[in-house]
Amino acid sequence: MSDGIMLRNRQAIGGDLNGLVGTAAHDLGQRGHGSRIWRTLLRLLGIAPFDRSVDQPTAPSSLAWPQAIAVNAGVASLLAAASANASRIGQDWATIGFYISIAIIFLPVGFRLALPDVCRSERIANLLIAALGLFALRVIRAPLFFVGHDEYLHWTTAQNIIETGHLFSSNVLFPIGPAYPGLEVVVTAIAELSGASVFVSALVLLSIARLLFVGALYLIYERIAGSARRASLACLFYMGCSTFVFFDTNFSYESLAMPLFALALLINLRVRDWRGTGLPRLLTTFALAVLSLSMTHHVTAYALAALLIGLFLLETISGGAAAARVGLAVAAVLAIAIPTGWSHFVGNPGEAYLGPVFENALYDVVRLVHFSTGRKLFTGDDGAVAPLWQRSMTLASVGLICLGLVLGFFRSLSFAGAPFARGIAPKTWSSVFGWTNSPVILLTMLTFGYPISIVLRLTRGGWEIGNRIGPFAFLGVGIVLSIAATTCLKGESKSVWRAACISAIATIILVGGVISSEGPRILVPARYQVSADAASIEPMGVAAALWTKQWLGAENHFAADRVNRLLLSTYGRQLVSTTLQHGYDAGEVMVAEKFGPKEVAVLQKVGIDYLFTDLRLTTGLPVVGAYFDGATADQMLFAPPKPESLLKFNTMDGVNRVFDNGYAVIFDVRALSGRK
Amino acid sequence: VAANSIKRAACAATVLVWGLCWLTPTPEPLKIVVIIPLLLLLPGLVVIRGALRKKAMNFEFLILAIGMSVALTIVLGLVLHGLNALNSGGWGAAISALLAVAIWRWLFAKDASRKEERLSPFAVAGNRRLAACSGVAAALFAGSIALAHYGADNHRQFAYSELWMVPSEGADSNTISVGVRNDEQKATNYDLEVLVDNKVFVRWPEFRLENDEQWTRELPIPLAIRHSRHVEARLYNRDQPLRIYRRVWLSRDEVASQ
Repeated sequence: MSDGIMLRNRQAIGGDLNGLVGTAAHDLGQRGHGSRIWRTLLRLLGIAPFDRSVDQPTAPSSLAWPQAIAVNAGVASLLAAASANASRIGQDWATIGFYISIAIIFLPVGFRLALPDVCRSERIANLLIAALGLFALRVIRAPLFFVGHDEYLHWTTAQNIIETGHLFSSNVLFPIGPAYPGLEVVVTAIAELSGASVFVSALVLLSIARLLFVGALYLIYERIAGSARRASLACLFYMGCSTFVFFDTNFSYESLAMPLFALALLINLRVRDWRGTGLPRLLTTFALAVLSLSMTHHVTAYALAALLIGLFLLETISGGAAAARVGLAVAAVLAIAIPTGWSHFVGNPGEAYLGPVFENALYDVVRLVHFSTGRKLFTGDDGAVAPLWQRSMTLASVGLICLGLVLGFFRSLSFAGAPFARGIAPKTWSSVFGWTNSPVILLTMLTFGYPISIVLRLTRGGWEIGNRIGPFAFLGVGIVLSIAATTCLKGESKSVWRAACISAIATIILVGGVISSEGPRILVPARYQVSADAASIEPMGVAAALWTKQWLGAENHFAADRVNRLLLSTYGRQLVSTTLQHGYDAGEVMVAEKFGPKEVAVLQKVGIDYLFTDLRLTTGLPVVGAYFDGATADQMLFAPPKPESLLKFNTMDGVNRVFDNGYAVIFDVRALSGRK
Repeated sequence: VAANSIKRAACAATVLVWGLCWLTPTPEPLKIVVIIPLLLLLPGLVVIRGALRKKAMNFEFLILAIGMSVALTIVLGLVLHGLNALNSGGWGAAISALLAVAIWRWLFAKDASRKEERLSPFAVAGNRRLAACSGVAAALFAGSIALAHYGADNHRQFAYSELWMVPSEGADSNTISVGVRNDEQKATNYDLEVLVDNKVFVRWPEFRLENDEQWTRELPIPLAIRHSRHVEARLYNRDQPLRIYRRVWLSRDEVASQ
């Protein structure tokens, strides 16, 4: 567009933007081609009054489809179980079979939700079936024990609570964890009352948390979008968030924090819409929800505070109802004060924990901008490259989300009543901000977090933050894509092909999200892999850790690699050495080719009793990028450690070799470290 | 009157089930089925009913009740921690108190009509076709999890034998413990010898262990060898009798300290 036309557009403020387009086209005179492009662009972006005809009529209540969808999900879970077992015996089709099972669960749900003449109860039932079906895949993937690294960190905290009967016991693997014990409190309550293991109790709680999250999310969307169809589609697209299917079902504090976040947000929306007496009671329940969230996860609690401040500001700017503003102001103050107060109560551990994470992320992003670093896309730290179909699916998923955001961004703003997005040029400054639906404006703005999360995920240091931004950014992505789907694809149409198209798009987004999170390592493989969490945790390592508890007793001080450290801490109930705790990396002693005064000094400073040497470390590069915790020992290694380095203690006086299973050896080094 | 009788009977049954579940050795799955609604639904129902003044049960009420129950449980954990009662007894007492409050509120609620109290799951249970489909789906899910469990349980990449030697603890401290555990996924024949300063002190020729079987011996250390340099255990697999299969040892200091 030329500068002249831009100037005319600015001069014409006060008229209808569609009229502007016409004026601009007229002014262009014979340049009708340019005007058509401009008009097409505006139409494509949805800068026009929102078409409410997509709000479907009420359909008769029926649960026939959910029955079929539930049975279909059960059959798909059988395929998933067969795939998981096939992976353990090295069948090539296993991974693709598992991904197909995800698609089989999801496709019919998407299809039904995309149709306009489906009743609210069926939509809710279908969403809950999809949530439970996908949760079943998490159980099928790891049916015997925890396999995620972070799960072991929280398990240690849970065991400490059960054993000591107190919160806040130290956890050297995860120093900040005990300060946020919400997840562990509920799991240990179930375990204490039922006698079930922490693993079983965690699965029970996580399944309930999943239903709670999806249910609350649906109600939030329904409350702000005013339509069961839009709300259910928004939930459907939210499930495409890379953390939804597996990461947020791990035994990790985010998995409970997100449902509590949704609960607090839902109560907050009730506060906004509250008319009449009883507001203090509602705010009390809100405070309770925020307190439990603050006790569960720091970042999620602060994210809620930021969101509620944003909502209050938008409501104030738009001149919303005074009663609503008062309620929102009180809620925003509570959302800031309670997490801050809790953080102060537990000694502000978040600063030391989160500070370096943000610093590293910022540093890596700056380097990425200068093209001097970055993660190699679709390539693991051990050099393994994702198959072509997975790369294609991930890129298609990102592409479809971006396309949906482009198509839905202005449509969502128009839906929220923002004048400029409705094609109405504002007459006064106050009318610029004259929207009617602040929550939708806020969620639409949240979608800017999606490209940011993608950029952060391209860096090594920022990957973690990018991963954490995803669940919040997708709150906006869900509703924007839902509005895009219901408007661009002729919402009132009952065409099964259109519904199938929306369902296919949602499924590609979901599967692409899961691939970007789990990739080719979604299942436990047939063969052990070095430092690969799920592919490294297996019965022999568990048996060795259990042996230490039985024959050496608990709370000996062990040095071990990343994976065995987790097993020793949980199954073995040993104290393990970490660089974070001691400032020294005991792994350095294990991988050093020679044992000299420096190594003796480390052993003595850290106070090591036993070294757990796993000879399998010598067989490959670490899949997650580190054999130990990324400190000195890992910096010493450019190739797998040598067996003779790990076994150098065989020839040293005063060292006992107390355990040998052919793969792992335990050395008693108390004579060297001065612990005896 | 009939509705009140049903209410009282339901309350009595709930208290009875909870009491039996808490105080008697009930199977874990059954305990979970009883405890989950008491811990993760009931407290929230009481709070949300009070906060929203809502009488009718709907989806939003249910979700808010579950969410508030989770939130209350977390806060309750903090309270129990402060009272030094964060254990099964403390949780049991807390659940009992919550149950008492819930029953009291329910029994004496004036505004609750029977129709409004009726939960949709009861209606759902009355639909035979729906119940059958739900049953089939649940069976399929349970079957798939059982299948995955079976596959994971039988996935043994490593066939191995453990050998260990540690100083015995307790009253009889003049002994060391030697142990072997067979996880070769088959019955295996072993030879085990214990050497003191590289001389055979004791030997257990050809003993057989079934898979997952463990063998341990307490080995008294005679006073005469207590100051020896080195006590070593060597395990031989009879399939490769000439090769030391596993070895462990205790050095002089360890033995001398006994």
